[in-house]
Amino acid sequence: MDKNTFKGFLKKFIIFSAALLLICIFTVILFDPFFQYHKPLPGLKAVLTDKEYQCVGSLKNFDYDSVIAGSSVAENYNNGWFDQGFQCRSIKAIRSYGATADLCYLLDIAFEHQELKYVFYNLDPSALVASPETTYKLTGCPMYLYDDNYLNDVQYWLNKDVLFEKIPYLIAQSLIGDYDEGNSYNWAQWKNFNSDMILGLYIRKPSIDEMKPETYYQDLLSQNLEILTARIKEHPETQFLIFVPPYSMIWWDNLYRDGDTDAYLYNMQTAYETLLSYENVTLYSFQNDREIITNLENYMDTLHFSPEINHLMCDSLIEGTHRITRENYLSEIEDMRSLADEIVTTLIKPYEDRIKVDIYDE
Amino acid sequence: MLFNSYLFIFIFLPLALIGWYGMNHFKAYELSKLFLAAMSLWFYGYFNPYYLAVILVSIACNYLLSFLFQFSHTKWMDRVFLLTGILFNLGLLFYFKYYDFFFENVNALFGTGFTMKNIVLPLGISFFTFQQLSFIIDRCTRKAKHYSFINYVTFVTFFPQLIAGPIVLYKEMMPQFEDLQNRKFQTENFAKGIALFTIGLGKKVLLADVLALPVNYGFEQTAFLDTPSTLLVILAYTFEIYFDFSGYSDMAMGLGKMFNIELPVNFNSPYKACSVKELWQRWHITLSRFFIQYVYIPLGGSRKGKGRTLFNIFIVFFLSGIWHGANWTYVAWGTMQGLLVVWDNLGIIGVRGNHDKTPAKFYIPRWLGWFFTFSFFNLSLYFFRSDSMTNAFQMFRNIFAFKNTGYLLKIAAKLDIPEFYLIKQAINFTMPDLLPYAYLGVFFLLLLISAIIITRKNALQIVSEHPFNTRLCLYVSIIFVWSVISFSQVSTFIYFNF
Repeated sequence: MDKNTFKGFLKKFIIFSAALLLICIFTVILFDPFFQYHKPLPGLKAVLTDKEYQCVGSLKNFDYDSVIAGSSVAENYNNGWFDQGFQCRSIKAIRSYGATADLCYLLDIAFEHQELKYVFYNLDPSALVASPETTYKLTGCPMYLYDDNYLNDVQYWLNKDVLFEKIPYLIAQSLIGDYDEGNSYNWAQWKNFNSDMILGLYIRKPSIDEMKPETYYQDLLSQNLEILTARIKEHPETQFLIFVPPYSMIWWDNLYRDGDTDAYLYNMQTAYETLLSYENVTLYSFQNDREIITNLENYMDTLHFSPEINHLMCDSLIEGTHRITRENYLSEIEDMRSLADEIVTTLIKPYEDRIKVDIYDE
Repeated sequence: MLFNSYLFIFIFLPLALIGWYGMNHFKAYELSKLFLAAMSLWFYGYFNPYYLAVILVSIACNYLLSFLFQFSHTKWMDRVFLLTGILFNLGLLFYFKYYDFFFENVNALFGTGFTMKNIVLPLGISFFTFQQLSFIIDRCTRKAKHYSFINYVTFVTFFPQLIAGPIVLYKEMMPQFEDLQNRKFQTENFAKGIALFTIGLGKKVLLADVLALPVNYGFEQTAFLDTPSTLLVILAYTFEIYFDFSGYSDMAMGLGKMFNIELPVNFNSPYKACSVKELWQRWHITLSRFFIQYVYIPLGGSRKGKGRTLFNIFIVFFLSGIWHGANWTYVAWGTMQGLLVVWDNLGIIGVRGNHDKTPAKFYIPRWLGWFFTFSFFNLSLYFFRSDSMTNAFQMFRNIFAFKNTGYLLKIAAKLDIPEFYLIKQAINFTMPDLLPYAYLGVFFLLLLISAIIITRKNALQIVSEHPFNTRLCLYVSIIFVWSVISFSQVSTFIYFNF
C-alpha cells in the first residue's frame, strides 16, 4: 500500500465521520426533544416526560405566563385545569423532593424568560427543612442542560439515547399517540392508588422518639423562607398561589414516631405568618382536610395522592376554598394539631394490623 | 480522563497531536517532550488532582535512585539502591492497593483492631509502578542508562499506556522517543493508529459496556441465579473482560501509532488458545513478560530442575493474581491459573499441533483443547469477577443446582439498549408477551457476535493485513461515530419518595 492509500483513507475517514457526526447533531438540534433550543417543531407536540432533562429547556423556550412549581405530587396536575380556571397559559416546573432552592432555581429561569401572571407553588412541609443549596449536581442531573455553555451540549447532540429513543418517542407521541400536553410529567397512569398500596409500602417503626422542640429546624426554616420570599418580593406583579398538599394520615403517624410533629407544625405556622405578609401571596392548605388525608384509598404511598385529589385542589384554588388567611391561620394550625393527635391515638388504630413493623428499628 | 470521552477525543487528543507535531516541526524537540509529559499529566490528573501527587512522588523517587546508581561502584551499594527501589515501589503499591486487605486479614486472624484507611486507589498505579520497577532493576544491572528527567517523565507518563498498560519497558520506548524520524507526521502510522484506536473503542463501548449490563446485574443477584443464567452470565463476562481490556490495549496501541510510537502487543486472540499455557502467551502479554523477566528468571526459571520450574511458574501466576486486585478472589483466580499452567507443563496431556518443547504422553485434538481451555478460563472468572469468595462459591453452587427458574429472562431484560428501542416498542404494541424473549434474543445475538469476533482476525491483524480501502474506511467511520454517540446516556431518575 502506498502513501496515497493512507492519505486517501484519512481524508475519507474525516469526511465520513464528520458527515455522520453532523447528521447526528443536526437531527438532535432540529427535533430538540429536551427543548434546549426551541419550541416543538410545527406538527409536533411538547412531549414532556423527563423532568430532569426537559424542565429547564421548556422553561427557557416555551410560551407561557404562569408556572406550576412543585415536587412529584404536583406532576399529576393537568395544565389545562389551571389554564381554564385562571385564564392563563401554564407550564410545569417540577423537581423531585420539591426543595425550595431547587424550585426557586427553576422559577428564576422562568422569570428570566417570561413575564409571569401566576406562580402556583406547591409547598411541601419537607421543603421547609431541606438544604438551602440546589441539589441538581449532587443528584446527577445532566448539568450540561442547566448551564449556558454550548460546548458541553455535545453530551446532548451526540447521544444515542436521544437519537434512538427520545426523538422517535417525541415523533410517535406527536403523530400517532394521544399525548395530552397538559399531562406533562404525569406518572399516575402507571400507578395504583388504594389502601393496600399505601399500607404495603409503610414500614412503621415500633419506637416513638421524644418530641423535638418546636424550633428544632429554625435555621433551615429561615433560610428556605428567605429563598422563597426573595422571589415573591422581586416580582410584585406576579400572583403567588402557594398551597400545602394533603399528605396522608400515615405520613402524620410517621412524623409523630420521628418526634417531628411539633417542629413541623411550628414550621408551618412560621411559614404562614411570613408568607401572609406579602400582598401578592394567596395561601391555601389541604393538609388538614380530614376527608382526604384519612381516606387511604386516595394514596399510593404516604404522600403521593391520586390525580383526582390534584383536580380537587386545583378547583379549590379557582374557587378560593381551603384559604389560609391572617385571621384563620392560627386556628388552622390548632385544628391540624388536634387532627394529628387524633390520627395517632384513634384514626390509625383500625389499620394497625395491616401495617408492617420495622424490625430493624433500634 | 478516559479514552472513551468527548473531552479526550475532541479536545485533548487533537491538542496533544497538534502540539507534538507542531513543536517537532519547528525542531523544538525538548519542548515537545515537555509538552507531551504535561499533557499526559493533565490526562492523568483530570479526575483527581491528588493522583498527580502520587505519580510525581513515584517518578521523582525512582529518578533519584536512577541518578544515585551513577555513583555506585560497588555491588554492595548497588544492592542497597536496588533494595530501596524495590521496597519503595512495592511499598507504594502495598499502601495504596493492599493496606486495607492486609490488615483486614490480620484483624481476622489475630483479633487485632487495625482501622481501615479506605484509601482511594490512584489510577494505573500497578502499571506505572511495575514500569518503573523494571527500570530500576535494569539500572542496577547497568542494562539501562540514566536518562534526562524530561525523557524519564515522558517515558513513564506517556498517556496512551499510563492508566491500563501495556506495561512498557524503557528499552523499547526510549529509542523511539529519541528517533527524530518519529517526530515527523507519518500518514501510514496515523491512518493505522486511527483504525486501531477505533476498533478498540468499538470493542470497549459497543461490546464490553453493553455486555456489562446483564453481567453486573447477574453478579448482584448471585443468590437468585439459576443454572442457565449463571452459565450465560459468566460467558458474557468472559467476552466483556476481553473486549474491555483488549479494546483498551488496541486504543493505546492506536494512539501510540498516531505519535509514531509502537507500543508492545498486549493481546493476541487469547480465546483461540488450545491450552491454558498458550492462553497466557496471548493474554496480557506485557504482564507475563514482566513476571518472566523479573520474577521467573531470577527465581531460577527452568534452570533448576523440573520441580523448581513448576514451582516458579506457579509463583508467577500466584503473584499475577494478587497484582490484579486486593481480594482473596484474585488470589484464588491466580492460583487456579497457576495450577492449570503447571498441569500443562507436566506434559501428561498435550494438544495436537502445539509445538511444546517436551512431548506429552497423550494427545487430544485441538478443538477439545480449545474447549477445555475456554471452559476452564470461564470458570476461573467466577473468582475474578465476584466481590467475595462466598459469592464465587455461590455461583458454582448455582451451576450444580441444575435449576431453571427463568431467571435468564430477567438478566436479559437488562439489555434495554437504545438500538433496540424501536423493535421493543413494536413488540410491545403487537405481542407484549414476547418482549422478555426478544431481550433474550438480543442477549444471544450479542454472545453470537462476540463469539464470531473472537474467532476472526484481531484488531492488529486487520490493521496490518487489510487493505485501507473505502469499505474499511466506512466501517471504521461508522464504528467511530456509533461509539461516540454511546458516550452519553439519558438516565432514569427514580425517586418518587421525595
